[in-house]
Amino acid sequence: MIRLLVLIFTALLGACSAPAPFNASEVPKLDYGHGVELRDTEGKVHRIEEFRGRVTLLFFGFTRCPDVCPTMLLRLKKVRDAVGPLASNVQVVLLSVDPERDTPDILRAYVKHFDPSFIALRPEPERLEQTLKAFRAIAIRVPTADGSDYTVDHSATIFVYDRTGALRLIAQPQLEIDKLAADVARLVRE
Amino acid sequence: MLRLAVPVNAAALKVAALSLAVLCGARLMLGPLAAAAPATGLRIESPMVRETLPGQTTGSAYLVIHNESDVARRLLGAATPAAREIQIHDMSLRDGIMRMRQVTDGVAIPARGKVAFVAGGLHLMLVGLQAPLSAGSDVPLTLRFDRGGELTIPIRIVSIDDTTSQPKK
Repeated sequence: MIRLLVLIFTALLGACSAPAPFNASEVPKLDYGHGVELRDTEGKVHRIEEFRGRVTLLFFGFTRCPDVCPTMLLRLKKVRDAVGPLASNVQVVLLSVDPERDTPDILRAYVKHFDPSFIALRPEPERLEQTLKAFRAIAIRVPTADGSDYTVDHSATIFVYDRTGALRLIAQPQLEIDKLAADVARLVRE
Repeated sequence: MLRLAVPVNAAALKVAALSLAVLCGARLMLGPLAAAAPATGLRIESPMVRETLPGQTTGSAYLVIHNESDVARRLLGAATPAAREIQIHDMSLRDGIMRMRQVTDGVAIPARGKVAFVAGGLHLMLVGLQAPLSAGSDVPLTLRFDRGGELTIPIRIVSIDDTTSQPKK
Protein backbone atom coordinates (compact mmCIF):
# COMPACT_ATOMS: atom_id res chain seq x y z
CA MET A 1 0.00 0.00 0.00
CA ILE A 2 2.77 2.42 0.97
CA ARG A 3 4.65 1.47 -2.15
CA LEU A 4 1.56 2.33 -4.21
CA LEU A 5 1.26 5.73 -2.51
CA VAL A 6 4.92 6.44 -3.19
CA LEU A 7 4.40 5.53 -6.83
CA ILE A 8 1.40 7.86 -7.13
CA PHE A 9 3.30 10.65 -5.39
CA THR A 10 6.27 10.19 -7.73
CA ALA A 11 3.95 10.23 -10.75
CA LEU A 12 2.37 13.46 -9.53
CA LEU A 13 5.77 15.05 -9.04
CA GLY A 14 6.67 14.02 -12.57
CA ALA A 15 3.53 15.70 -13.88
CA CYS A 16 4.46 18.90 -12.07
CA SER A 17 7.84 19.11 -13.76
CA ALA A 18 6.39 18.54 -17.27
CA PRO A 19 6.58 21.66 -19.44
CA ALA A 20 3.62 23.99 -19.05
CA PRO A 21 1.16 23.84 -21.91
CA PHE A 22 1.28 26.54 -24.58
CA ASN A 23 -1.34 29.27 -24.44
CA ALA A 24 -2.47 28.45 -27.97
CA SER A 25 -3.58 24.92 -28.88
CA GLU A 26 -0.63 22.64 -29.51
CA VAL A 27 -0.96 20.23 -32.41
CA PRO A 28 1.32 17.27 -33.09
CA LYS A 29 3.66 18.75 -35.74
CA LEU A 30 1.26 18.90 -38.69
CA ASP A 31 2.29 19.48 -42.28
CA TYR A 32 -0.65 21.72 -43.27
CA GLY A 33 0.17 23.65 -46.40
CA HIS A 34 3.49 21.89 -47.00
CA GLY A 35 4.45 21.58 -50.64
CA VAL A 36 2.12 24.36 -51.80
CA GLU A 37 3.90 26.93 -53.95
CA LEU A 38 2.83 30.49 -53.25
CA ARG A 39 4.19 33.69 -54.72
CA ASP A 40 5.07 36.69 -52.58
CA THR A 41 4.44 40.23 -53.77
CA GLU A 42 7.83 40.34 -55.53
CA GLY A 43 7.03 37.22 -57.54
CA LYS A 44 9.28 34.93 -55.52
CA VAL A 45 7.93 31.43 -54.96
CA HIS A 46 7.74 30.17 -51.38
CA ARG A 47 6.62 27.06 -49.59
CA ILE A 48 5.51 27.57 -46.02
CA GLU A 49 7.96 24.92 -44.74
CA GLU A 50 10.81 26.87 -46.33
CA PHE A 51 10.46 29.57 -43.69
CA ARG A 52 12.18 27.08 -41.35
CA GLY A 53 14.74 28.68 -39.12
CA ARG A 54 12.11 31.20 -38.13
CA VAL A 55 8.85 30.86 -36.24
CA THR A 56 6.14 31.72 -38.75
CA LEU A 57 2.78 33.25 -37.87
CA LEU A 58 0.38 32.69 -40.75
CA PHE A 59 -3.09 34.07 -41.03
CA PHE A 60 -5.73 34.26 -43.73
CA GLY A 61 -7.16 37.59 -44.78
CA PHE A 62 -7.73 40.12 -47.54
CA THR A 63 -7.16 43.82 -48.03
CA ARG A 64 -10.80 44.76 -48.62
CA CYS A 65 -11.49 43.69 -45.06
CA PRO A 66 -11.13 47.10 -43.38
CA ASP A 67 -12.04 46.05 -39.86
CA VAL A 68 -10.69 42.74 -38.62
CA CYS A 69 -7.68 42.17 -40.90
CA PRO A 70 -5.84 45.42 -40.00
CA THR A 71 -6.58 44.68 -36.36
CA MET A 72 -5.03 41.25 -36.74
CA LEU A 73 -1.92 42.58 -38.51
CA LEU A 74 -1.52 45.16 -35.79
CA ARG A 75 -1.76 42.45 -33.14
CA LEU A 76 0.83 40.32 -34.92
CA LYS A 77 3.10 43.34 -35.14
CA LYS A 78 2.75 43.74 -31.37
CA VAL A 79 3.49 40.03 -30.86
CA ARG A 80 6.67 40.42 -32.90
CA ASP A 81 7.65 43.55 -30.95
CA ALA A 82 6.91 41.80 -27.65
CA VAL A 83 9.55 39.10 -28.23
CA GLY A 84 12.21 41.84 -28.36
CA PRO A 85 15.60 40.65 -29.59
CA LEU A 86 14.05 37.39 -30.87
CA ALA A 87 11.94 39.32 -33.40
CA SER A 88 14.34 38.65 -36.26
CA ASN A 89 13.41 34.96 -35.84
CA VAL A 90 9.71 35.64 -36.29
CA GLN A 91 8.04 35.83 -39.69
CA VAL A 92 4.49 37.12 -40.13
CA VAL A 93 2.73 35.94 -43.29
CA LEU A 94 -0.65 37.01 -44.65
CA LEU A 95 -2.16 34.50 -47.04
CA SER A 96 -4.67 36.28 -49.27
CA VAL A 97 -8.07 34.64 -49.56
CA ASP A 98 -9.07 37.16 -52.24
CA PRO A 99 -6.27 36.98 -54.83
CA GLU A 100 -8.51 38.34 -57.57
CA ARG A 101 -8.71 41.76 -55.93
CA ASP A 102 -5.52 41.54 -53.87
CA THR A 103 -2.97 42.30 -56.56
CA PRO A 104 0.72 42.05 -55.58
CA ASP A 105 0.98 45.87 -55.45
CA ILE A 106 -2.03 46.24 -53.17
CA LEU A 107 -0.86 43.42 -50.92
CA ARG A 108 2.69 44.75 -50.65
CA ALA A 109 1.58 48.24 -49.65
CA TYR A 110 -0.87 46.77 -47.19
CA VAL A 111 1.40 44.45 -45.23
CA LYS A 112 4.52 46.63 -45.36
CA HIS A 113 2.60 49.44 -43.73
CA PHE A 114 2.49 47.40 -40.55
CA ASP A 115 6.04 46.10 -40.63
CA PRO A 116 8.59 45.96 -43.42
CA SER A 117 9.37 42.36 -42.46
CA PHE A 118 5.80 41.15 -43.08
CA ILE A 119 5.19 39.05 -46.18
CA ALA A 120 1.99 38.52 -48.15
CA LEU A 121 1.53 35.33 -50.14
CA ARG A 122 -0.91 35.26 -52.98
CA PRO A 123 -2.26 32.05 -54.48
CA GLU A 124 -3.12 32.21 -58.17
CA PRO A 125 -6.91 32.79 -58.24
CA GLU A 126 -7.50 29.46 -59.99
CA ARG A 127 -5.46 27.68 -57.33
CA LEU A 128 -7.09 29.31 -54.31
CA GLU A 129 -9.38 26.37 -53.63
CA GLN A 130 -6.53 23.88 -53.80
CA THR A 131 -4.33 26.08 -51.59
CA LEU A 132 -7.00 26.44 -48.93
CA LYS A 133 -7.57 22.70 -48.97
CA ALA A 134 -3.87 22.08 -48.33
CA PHE A 135 -4.00 24.42 -45.32
CA ARG A 136 -7.36 22.97 -44.17
CA ALA A 137 -8.61 26.55 -44.28
CA ILE A 138 -11.92 27.96 -45.40
CA ALA A 139 -12.81 31.01 -47.48
CA ILE A 140 -16.33 31.57 -48.72
CA ARG A 141 -17.35 34.37 -51.05
CA VAL A 142 -20.50 36.05 -49.82
CA PRO A 143 -22.31 38.63 -51.97
CA THR A 144 -23.15 41.91 -50.25
CA ALA A 145 -26.81 42.72 -49.58
CA ASP A 146 -27.26 44.69 -52.80
CA GLY A 147 -25.45 42.02 -54.82
CA SER A 148 -23.00 44.49 -56.36
CA ASP A 149 -19.95 43.31 -54.45
CA TYR A 150 -18.75 40.46 -52.29
CA THR A 151 -16.99 39.90 -49.03
CA VAL A 152 -15.10 36.82 -47.90
CA ASP A 153 -15.83 34.79 -44.78
CA HIS A 154 -12.60 33.10 -43.82
CA SER A 155 -10.74 31.01 -41.26
CA ALA A 156 -9.77 33.28 -38.41
CA THR A 157 -7.19 31.15 -36.63
CA ILE A 158 -3.47 31.91 -36.64
CA PHE A 159 -1.18 29.05 -37.63
CA VAL A 160 2.16 29.02 -35.83
CA TYR A 161 4.91 27.04 -37.55
CA ASP A 162 8.02 26.15 -35.54
CA ARG A 163 11.62 26.50 -36.69
CA THR A 164 11.57 23.07 -38.32
CA GLY A 165 8.69 24.17 -40.56
CA ALA A 166 6.06 22.06 -38.74
CA LEU A 167 2.69 23.50 -37.77
CA ARG A 168 2.83 23.45 -33.97
CA LEU A 169 0.19 25.80 -32.61
CA ILE A 170 -3.24 27.01 -33.65
CA ALA A 171 -4.20 30.28 -31.97
CA GLN A 172 -7.61 31.88 -31.76
CA PRO A 173 -7.58 35.48 -33.02
CA GLN A 174 -8.55 36.87 -29.63
CA LEU A 175 -5.67 35.22 -27.75
CA GLU A 176 -3.92 37.96 -25.73
CA ILE A 177 -0.84 39.44 -27.36
CA ASP A 178 1.47 38.65 -24.42
CA LYS A 179 0.30 35.04 -24.29
CA LEU A 180 0.88 34.48 -28.00
CA ALA A 181 4.23 36.28 -27.72
CA ALA A 182 5.24 33.95 -24.87
CA ASP A 183 4.42 30.92 -27.05
CA VAL A 184 6.33 32.36 -29.98
CA ALA A 185 9.39 33.16 -27.83
CA ARG A 186 9.33 29.61 -26.49
CA LEU A 187 9.26 28.15 -29.99
CA VAL A 188 12.12 30.42 -31.08
CA ARG A 189 14.20 29.16 -28.15
CA GLU A 190 13.52 25.46 -28.81
CA MET B 1 -69.83 58.54 -33.24
CA LEU B 2 -73.31 58.37 -31.78
CA ARG B 3 -71.78 56.99 -28.64
CA LEU B 4 -70.36 60.40 -27.91
CA ALA B 5 -73.85 61.56 -27.17
CA VAL B 6 -74.24 58.98 -24.42
CA PRO B 7 -74.11 60.83 -21.08
CA VAL B 8 -70.96 60.14 -19.07
CA ASN B 9 -70.46 60.78 -15.39
CA ALA B 10 -68.68 63.90 -14.27
CA ALA B 11 -65.59 62.19 -12.90
CA ALA B 12 -64.91 60.42 -16.18
CA LEU B 13 -65.40 63.68 -18.02
CA LYS B 14 -62.93 65.38 -15.73
CA VAL B 15 -60.32 62.67 -16.33
CA ALA B 16 -60.87 62.89 -20.08
CA ALA B 17 -60.57 66.67 -20.08
CA LEU B 18 -57.44 66.52 -17.98
CA SER B 19 -55.88 63.89 -20.26
CA LEU B 20 -56.67 65.99 -23.27
CA ALA B 21 -55.13 69.04 -21.65
CA VAL B 22 -51.99 67.09 -20.73
CA LEU B 23 -51.75 65.63 -24.22
CA CYS B 24 -52.22 69.02 -25.86
CA GLY B 25 -49.76 70.60 -23.48
CA ALA B 26 -47.25 67.88 -24.16
CA ARG B 27 -47.78 68.26 -27.83
CA LEU B 28 -47.32 71.98 -27.65
CA MET B 29 -44.14 71.52 -25.71
CA LEU B 30 -42.75 68.74 -27.86
CA GLY B 31 -43.96 70.05 -31.19
CA PRO B 32 -41.40 72.76 -31.88
CA LEU B 33 -38.64 70.77 -30.18
CA ALA B 34 -39.35 67.71 -32.28
CA ALA B 35 -39.26 69.76 -35.43
CA ALA B 36 -35.99 71.45 -34.55
CA ALA B 37 -34.15 68.47 -33.09
CA PRO B 38 -35.71 65.15 -33.93
CA ALA B 39 -32.55 63.45 -32.71
CA THR B 40 -33.09 64.79 -29.19
CA GLY B 41 -31.72 62.43 -26.56
CA LEU B 42 -29.23 60.82 -28.91
CA ARG B 43 -25.60 61.39 -28.05
CA ILE B 44 -22.55 60.22 -29.99
CA GLU B 45 -19.41 59.26 -28.12
CA SER B 46 -15.86 58.66 -29.43
CA PRO B 47 -16.57 58.90 -33.15
CA MET B 48 -13.55 57.97 -35.27
CA VAL B 49 -12.66 56.52 -38.62
CA ARG B 50 -9.51 54.60 -39.37
CA GLU B 51 -7.03 55.96 -41.85
CA THR B 52 -6.82 53.86 -44.98
CA LEU B 53 -3.74 52.01 -46.14
CA PRO B 54 -2.40 52.26 -49.67
CA GLY B 55 -4.75 50.47 -52.05
CA GLN B 56 -7.68 50.34 -49.64
CA THR B 57 -10.93 51.64 -51.06
CA THR B 58 -13.02 51.03 -47.97
CA GLY B 59 -12.81 52.45 -44.46
CA SER B 60 -14.21 51.56 -41.04
CA ALA B 61 -15.83 54.02 -38.66
CA TYR B 62 -16.53 53.42 -34.99
CA LEU B 63 -18.61 55.24 -32.39
CA VAL B 64 -21.01 54.73 -29.52
CA ILE B 65 -24.62 55.89 -29.83
CA HIS B 66 -26.28 56.72 -26.51
CA ASN B 67 -30.04 57.02 -26.33
CA GLU B 68 -30.79 59.17 -23.29
CA SER B 69 -34.50 59.31 -24.01
CA ASP B 70 -37.30 56.99 -22.89
CA VAL B 71 -38.11 56.06 -26.46
CA ALA B 72 -36.34 53.29 -28.35
CA ARG B 73 -34.77 54.59 -31.56
CA ARG B 74 -33.32 53.01 -34.65
CA LEU B 75 -30.25 53.93 -36.68
CA LEU B 76 -31.35 53.54 -40.27
CA GLY B 77 -28.25 54.57 -42.13
CA ALA B 78 -25.33 56.93 -42.45
CA ALA B 79 -23.65 59.04 -45.10
CA THR B 80 -20.50 61.05 -45.64
CA PRO B 81 -19.21 63.13 -48.53
CA ALA B 82 -15.97 61.15 -48.16
CA ALA B 83 -17.49 57.95 -49.56
CA ARG B 84 -20.01 56.81 -52.13
CA GLU B 85 -22.02 55.07 -49.43
CA ILE B 86 -21.88 53.85 -45.86
CA GLN B 87 -23.03 50.38 -45.03
CA ILE B 88 -23.69 49.07 -41.55
CA HIS B 89 -21.73 45.85 -41.09
CA ASP B 90 -21.55 43.31 -38.36
CA MET B 91 -18.50 41.13 -37.80
CA SER B 92 -18.74 37.93 -35.91
CA LEU B 93 -16.41 35.09 -35.07
CA ARG B 94 -18.24 31.80 -35.12
CA ASP B 95 -16.83 28.30 -35.23
CA GLY B 96 -13.40 29.66 -36.13
CA ILE B 97 -14.75 31.56 -39.14
CA MET B 98 -14.67 35.36 -39.37
CA ARG B 99 -17.91 36.55 -40.95
CA MET B 100 -18.99 39.98 -42.10
CA ARG B 101 -22.61 40.75 -42.88
CA GLN B 102 -24.34 43.89 -44.06
CA VAL B 103 -27.13 45.00 -41.73
CA THR B 104 -29.93 46.31 -43.92
CA ASP B 105 -32.79 46.84 -41.49
CA GLY B 106 -31.08 49.27 -39.15
CA VAL B 107 -29.83 48.97 -35.59
CA ALA B 108 -32.10 49.38 -32.55
CA ILE B 109 -30.81 51.84 -29.96
CA PRO B 110 -32.72 50.93 -26.78
CA ALA B 111 -34.30 53.59 -24.60
CA ARG B 112 -31.82 54.70 -21.90
CA GLY B 113 -29.29 52.42 -23.56
CA LYS B 114 -26.37 52.48 -25.96
CA VAL B 115 -24.94 50.60 -28.91
CA ALA B 116 -21.21 50.48 -29.57
CA PHE B 117 -19.82 50.26 -33.09
CA VAL B 118 -16.38 48.77 -32.52
CA ALA B 119 -13.57 46.94 -34.29
CA GLY B 120 -14.53 43.30 -34.70
CA GLY B 121 -18.24 43.98 -34.14
CA LEU B 122 -20.85 46.33 -35.55
CA HIS B 123 -19.17 49.05 -37.59
CA LEU B 124 -19.85 51.56 -40.32
CA MET B 125 -18.13 50.64 -43.54
CA LEU B 126 -17.30 53.51 -45.89
CA VAL B 127 -17.55 52.11 -49.39
CA GLY B 128 -16.11 53.82 -52.46
CA LEU B 129 -13.87 56.39 -50.79
CA GLN B 130 -13.46 59.60 -52.75
CA ALA B 131 -9.86 59.89 -51.55
CA PRO B 132 -7.60 58.03 -49.12
CA LEU B 133 -8.35 58.84 -45.48
CA SER B 134 -5.30 60.44 -43.87
CA ALA B 135 -4.92 60.54 -40.11
CA GLY B 136 -5.36 63.89 -38.38
CA SER B 137 -8.20 65.48 -40.32
CA ASP B 138 -11.97 65.29 -39.86
CA VAL B 139 -14.77 64.18 -42.16
CA PRO B 140 -18.44 64.92 -41.60
CA LEU B 141 -20.72 61.99 -40.80
CA THR B 142 -24.49 62.10 -40.94
CA LEU B 143 -26.42 59.51 -38.99
CA ARG B 144 -30.02 58.95 -40.01
CA PHE B 145 -32.49 57.71 -37.41
CA ASP B 146 -36.15 56.75 -37.46
CA ARG B 147 -38.81 59.45 -36.98
CA GLY B 148 -36.83 61.82 -39.17
CA GLY B 149 -33.92 62.12 -36.76
CA GLU B 150 -30.63 63.19 -38.22
CA LEU B 151 -27.30 64.04 -36.62
CA THR B 152 -24.25 65.39 -38.41
CA ILE B 153 -20.97 65.28 -36.57
CA PRO B 154 -17.30 65.61 -37.49
CA ILE B 155 -15.35 62.38 -37.13
CA ARG B 156 -11.61 62.29 -36.68
CA ILE B 157 -9.46 60.15 -38.97
CA VAL B 158 -7.05 58.29 -36.69
CA SER B 159 -3.93 56.28 -37.36
CA ILE B 160 -4.43 52.57 -37.85
CA ASP B 161 -2.02 51.98 -34.98
CA ASP B 162 -4.09 54.10 -32.63
CA THR B 163 -6.15 51.63 -30.66
CA THR B 164 -6.67 53.89 -27.67
CA SER B 165 -9.10 56.25 -29.45
CA GLN B 166 -11.27 53.37 -30.54
CA PRO B 167 -14.48 52.89 -28.62
CA LYS B 168 -14.71 49.64 -26.68
CA LYS B 169 -17.69 47.38 -26.41
